[in-house]
Amino acid sequence: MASPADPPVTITAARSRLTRPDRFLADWWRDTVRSPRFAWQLFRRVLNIQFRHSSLGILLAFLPATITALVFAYARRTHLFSDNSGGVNSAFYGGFGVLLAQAFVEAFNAGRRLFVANQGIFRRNVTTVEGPLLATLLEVLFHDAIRIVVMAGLMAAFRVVPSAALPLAIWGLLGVSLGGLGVGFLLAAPNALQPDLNALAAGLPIALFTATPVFLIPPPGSLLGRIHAANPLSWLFDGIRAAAYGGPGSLVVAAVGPLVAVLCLLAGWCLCRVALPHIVERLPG
Amino acid sequence: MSGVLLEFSGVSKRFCRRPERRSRLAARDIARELCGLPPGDSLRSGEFWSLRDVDLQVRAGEVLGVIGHNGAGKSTLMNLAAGTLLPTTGTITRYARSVCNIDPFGMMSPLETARENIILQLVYHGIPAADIDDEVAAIAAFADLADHLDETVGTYSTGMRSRLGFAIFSRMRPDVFLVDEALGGGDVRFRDQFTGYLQRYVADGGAMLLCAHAAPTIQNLCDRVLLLDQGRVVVAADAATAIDAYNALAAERGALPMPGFRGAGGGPVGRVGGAAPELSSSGLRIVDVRIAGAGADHPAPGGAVEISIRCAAAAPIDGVRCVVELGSRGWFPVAVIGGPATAIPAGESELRCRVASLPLAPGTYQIHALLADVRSGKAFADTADRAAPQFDVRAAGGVPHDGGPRTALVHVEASWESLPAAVDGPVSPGRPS
Repeated sequence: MASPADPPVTITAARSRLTRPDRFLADWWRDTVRSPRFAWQLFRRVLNIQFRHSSLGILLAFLPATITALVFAYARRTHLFSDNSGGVNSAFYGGFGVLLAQAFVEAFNAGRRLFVANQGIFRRNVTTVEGPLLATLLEVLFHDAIRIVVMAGLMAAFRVVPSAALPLAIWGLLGVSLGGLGVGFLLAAPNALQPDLNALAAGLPIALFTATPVFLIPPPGSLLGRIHAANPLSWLFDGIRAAAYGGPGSLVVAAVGPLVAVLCLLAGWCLCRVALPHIVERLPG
Repeated sequence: MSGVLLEFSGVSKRFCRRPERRSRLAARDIARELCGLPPGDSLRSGEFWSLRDVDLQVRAGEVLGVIGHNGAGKSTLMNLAAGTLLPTTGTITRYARSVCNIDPFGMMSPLETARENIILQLVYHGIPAADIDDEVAAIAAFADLADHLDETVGTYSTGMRSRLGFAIFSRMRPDVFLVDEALGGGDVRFRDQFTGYLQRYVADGGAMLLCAHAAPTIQNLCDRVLLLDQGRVVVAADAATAIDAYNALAAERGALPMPGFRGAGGGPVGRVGGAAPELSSSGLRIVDVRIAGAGADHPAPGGAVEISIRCAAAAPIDGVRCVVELGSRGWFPVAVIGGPATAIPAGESELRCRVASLPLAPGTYQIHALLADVRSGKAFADTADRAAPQFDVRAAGGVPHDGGPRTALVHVEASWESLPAAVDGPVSPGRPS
C-alpha cells in the first residue's frame, strides 16, 4: 500500500473538466507521459491478434500495399495505362496515389474505431484514453513503415528516380496518416454510439476518393478538375509526389500539410479525452 | 480526513434507458463539457437516477460492502469509484495513489499467452519494468500455472483462466481495491486462497469496496455494509443488520433472499449456539441449528453426529420437509441431507437428524437449514439471513488437518487391506484362474 503520508488527492466532480484549462492540460500531459509502456503493450497485443494466427505471419501486414503495387505494375505491363501523368507513367501515378489513399483510409478507420475496438477495457478498467490512443498511433505508424517499403519497391519497379527531397515525402506521408487518424478521432464518439453513422463513416473514404480521385490528373478547368482541387488531400498528395520524385506539386504543402494534420490529431485526441466517460456510460452491451 | 482513502459526497448518477436517445444525450453532455458547463442536475426525457445522493467513506484497513437487488446502483457506484464514469452531481475524492478494480477477465485476451496477458496488466498498473519478470513468476506460482505460462489463454480451461485472472491482482498493492461481484464462481480452493490474500491485504492497511450477492462473502469480509435500493443508501450498518434489511426488502417485493449462509452469532454450532430466529410468513421459524449429541464439539470424519433444528410455529403445520446443507467456510456446498415430510406442532419443537457417518474431511464448515412445503417446495423458513453457524471437523486425536495440507472436503469411508505381493506367472489355457 502506498504510504499514508502525503497521498495525492484526485477529485472527480460534477463539473466540466475544461473549467480549468491549465489543469486539463496538466492532466492530459500527465496521462500521456504515463501511457507509453501500456500503449506499447496494447500495440503488441494488436499485432499478436492480427498476425500470430495467420499462416503468413507479419508478412500479412505487407499484403494490401503489395497487392496494390502489383496490380498497377501489372497494369503497366499490359499497357492499360500507356500515357504519362505528371511526368511519370500513369500506372505508377495511380499506384502511388492509391497507396497514399490507403494510408489515409486505414488511419481514419483505426481512429474512428477507438472506443469500439477498446470498449472491453474502457468499460471497467482503463480510465484514460491515452494508452489505447497511443497504441492506435503506433499501429498506424507501423503500417506507414510497411507502406514506405512498398512505395520504394514500386518506384524501383517503375524506375522512378527519387528526388533529393524524399525525406519530405515521408514527412508528408506521415501527415496523411495523422490527418486520417485525427479525422477518425473526431468521429470516434458518434461512431461508437450511432450505428448509422458508423456505416456512413465506413463508406466515407470511398466516396471521398471517388469524388475527388487522387489516382489520375483530371483535365484542368474541367468539373472533375475543380472537384479534385477542392480536396485538400489532392494538394497534399501532389506535394508528396513532388517531394518523392519531382512531380508537379508544391513542396511547401508537403512540409506544412502534416503540421495541419498534427493539429487535427490533437483536436481529435482532445475530443476523445473529453468524450470518454460520456461514451463509456452509453456503450451498448 | 485522516485514514479516508475514498469519499463520495452527495454523488448522483443518471442514465438513459432509451437507446435511441443515447447518442443525442451524449452529444449534449460532451458539448456542455466543451463549453465549460456543468452536466445539470435534472432528468431529461428517458433518463432515470441510477444513484442518488450517496455519501460514503472508505478508510484504510476497512472493507465496505455494498449490497442491493439488481438495478439498485451497485455497479454504477463501483464504476464511479473506479473513475470510468463521471458523477452527475456531487464529488468523488480519492486520497490515494491507486484504486484498482478487480476485473479478472476485463483485460484478458484469449489470443495472447498468459505471460503476455500478465505483463499487459502489470504495465497498466504501473509495475516497474525491472520488476516485471519477478512478478510474472510470482503470479504463475500463485496460480499454479508455471508450466502453461507461454500457452495462449484461449487454450485454458475456465478454472485456469479464473486462477490467472485473480492471481494477477494478488501482486497489486493499490490503496483501494474495488471488487464488483468478482469473487463468485471459479475454482473454490483458489477463490479461498485469493480471499485469504484480500484479508491479509486489508489487515496490512489496505481498503476495499466490495460488492457481492452472496451473504457469506459480505459477512466474512466486510466491516460495514451499505444497502442500496433504487440508487439510494437505505441502510448503512454491520453486515448482519444490512443483510436482514436486504431480506426484508426482498420479502416485501416477493424476491429471493440473499443466497448463502447467515446466523447472528456466527459462533460454532454446539459450542456457542446457533442461529437467531427468522420469521416467515407462515409463522414457522427456525430458532436454532446446531451439531448436538456426543462429540458435538469436535465431530470426526466418518463419525456419527446429530444435527438439531429447533423451530417454532404459531400453529400446527403439516407437510414440512427439512433440508440441511453442509458447506465449507465461505460457503461452497458440500453435502445436502433431505428429511422426510413431517408435521410441525404449534410452539417450539425440535427435529433431529442423525448422520451415521459424517462425510466431511477435517476442516471448518458451516451449516444451513431450510423448512419447506413438501407440495410446493416453497420455503417456510431458513437460516438465510444470519451469520453462518460454523463447526470444526477434526481428525482423531483432535489435530485439525491430519498434519497435512488441506486438499479435500469430502471424507470417504473405505476399508483397507494389506495383501502379499501377487506372484505373476504364465496361466495355462483351460486352467481355472
